[in-house]
Amino acid sequence: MAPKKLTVLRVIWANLDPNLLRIISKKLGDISSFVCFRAVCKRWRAATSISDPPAQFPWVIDWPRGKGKPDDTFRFYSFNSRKTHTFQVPDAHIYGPSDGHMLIYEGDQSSKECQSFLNPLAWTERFVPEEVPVDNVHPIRLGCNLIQNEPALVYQKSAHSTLFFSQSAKQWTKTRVPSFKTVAFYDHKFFLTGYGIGNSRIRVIDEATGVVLSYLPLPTDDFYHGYLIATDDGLLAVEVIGSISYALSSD
Amino acid sequence: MARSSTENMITLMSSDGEEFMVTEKVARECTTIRNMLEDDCVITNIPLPNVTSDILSMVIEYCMEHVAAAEKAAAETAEKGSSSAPAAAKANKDLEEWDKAFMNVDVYTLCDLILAANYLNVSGLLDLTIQTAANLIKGKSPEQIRKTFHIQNDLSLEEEEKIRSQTPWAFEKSE
Repeated sequence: MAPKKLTVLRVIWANLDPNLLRIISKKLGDISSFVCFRAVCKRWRAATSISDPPAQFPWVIDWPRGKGKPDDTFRFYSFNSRKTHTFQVPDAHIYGPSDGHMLIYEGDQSSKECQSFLNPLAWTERFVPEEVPVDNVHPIRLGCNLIQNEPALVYQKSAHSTLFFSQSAKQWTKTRVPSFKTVAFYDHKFFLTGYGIGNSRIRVIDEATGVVLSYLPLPTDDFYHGYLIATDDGLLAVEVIGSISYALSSD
Repeated sequence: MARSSTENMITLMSSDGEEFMVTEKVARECTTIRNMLEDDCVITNIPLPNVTSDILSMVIEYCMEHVAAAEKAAAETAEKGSSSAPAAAKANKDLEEWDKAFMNVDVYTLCDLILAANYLNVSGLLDLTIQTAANLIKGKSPEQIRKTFHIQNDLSLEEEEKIRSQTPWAFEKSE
C-alpha cells in the first residue's frame, strides 16, 4: 500500500462513526475488554457509555479460601478475552457471576452479614434485603432473568425447595423443585442437573408452577462434574477439568 | 420480491470511476441497492461515490460467494426433496471458512469494508467485519489496541490516570 494512502486512511479508525464504534464495543463480550476499549482515545470513549456495556460472557471465579489462602484476593478468568483478573473483596464469598454482576456474600468475620450484587466494572454494589423468608438457606447460584435483564439470586432451602430473589420485583419467589446437583435460572425457568449416572439430562422447570416443562440432553454422558450458568444468550454448560476451580461447589 | 428467470445485469460504479457488471441477484445483497431497484426498476447504472474500486470489488466478491452458496443449498434441497442436515452443516462450515479467509486483511482495508458494508447495508458483511474488529480488540491493553489500529493517544495523562484508577483490575497484565 502506498505511504500516502496510509496517512490518509490512518485517521479512520480513530475517527470511525460513533455508532459503528458502539456496535463494535457491543461485540467484545467482556467488560475488561470494554474498559480497555474506552481507554484508547477520546472518540472511542465518547462513543460508548459505562452504563451500556456489552453482554457479559460468564467468568470462572477462583475462590481463594477454597485453596487455603487466607487472603481476600479473588481471581476471575474470562473465557472471552482469555485473561485472568484479580481484585480484592475483604470478608466475602463470591458466587456468580451473571449479567455483568457477581453475587457477594459478606460477613464471615464481621458482625453484620450482607449480600449484594457487585458490578466490578463500575464498582457499584446493590444490596439484597437481609430478610430471607426461611432460615438456613444458602445462595447457590446467580441466574439471569432475561425479561428484566437483571441478575437473579437462587437459593436452595432443602432438597425440594428453591427460592430466588428478583431485583426489580424486590421479592422472593419459592418454587418446589427436585433435588439437583447444579442449577441455573434463566428466562423464568430453572435448569437442573441431577446426581447419579441415570440423570444424564437437564430438567427444565417452570418457575411459577414447578412443573417439568422439558428435558435437554447433556453435552456428554460423563458430564457429572459440570455445572450450568445462565448467560445473556442462553445456557452455558461448563465441564470442570484439571485445575480449574470455580465459585460454586456442590456442598 | 419479484424474481426473473433471465439474469438482469446492473453496473455499479466506484468512486474512482471503475465499473463493475454484476447480476441483479448479487446487487440485491446490498440492501441500499435493493431499495434503489425497488423504487426504480429500470435503473441499470448505479454510482457509489462512497466506495473505492478495490473495496467495491471485495464487497462484490463477498456477495457473489454468499449468493452462490445460497443457490447451491436451494438446488440441493430441490433435488433431494428435503435438505440433508449433514450436507447443510458442511456447506455452512465451508462458507464460514471462506468468510474467515476473506477477513485476512489489514486494519485499513477492514475499516473500509466496515464503512462500505454499512453504507451499502450488507448485513452479513457488516456482522463479519464488526466481529473481526472486536476480535482484534479483545484481551488487548489500550496501548496494544492503539498500536493495532494505528490510533494516536489523545487522552491527557490526568485523564488516563483517572480511567485507570476507576478499574485498576482491568488494566493488569495477564498472568
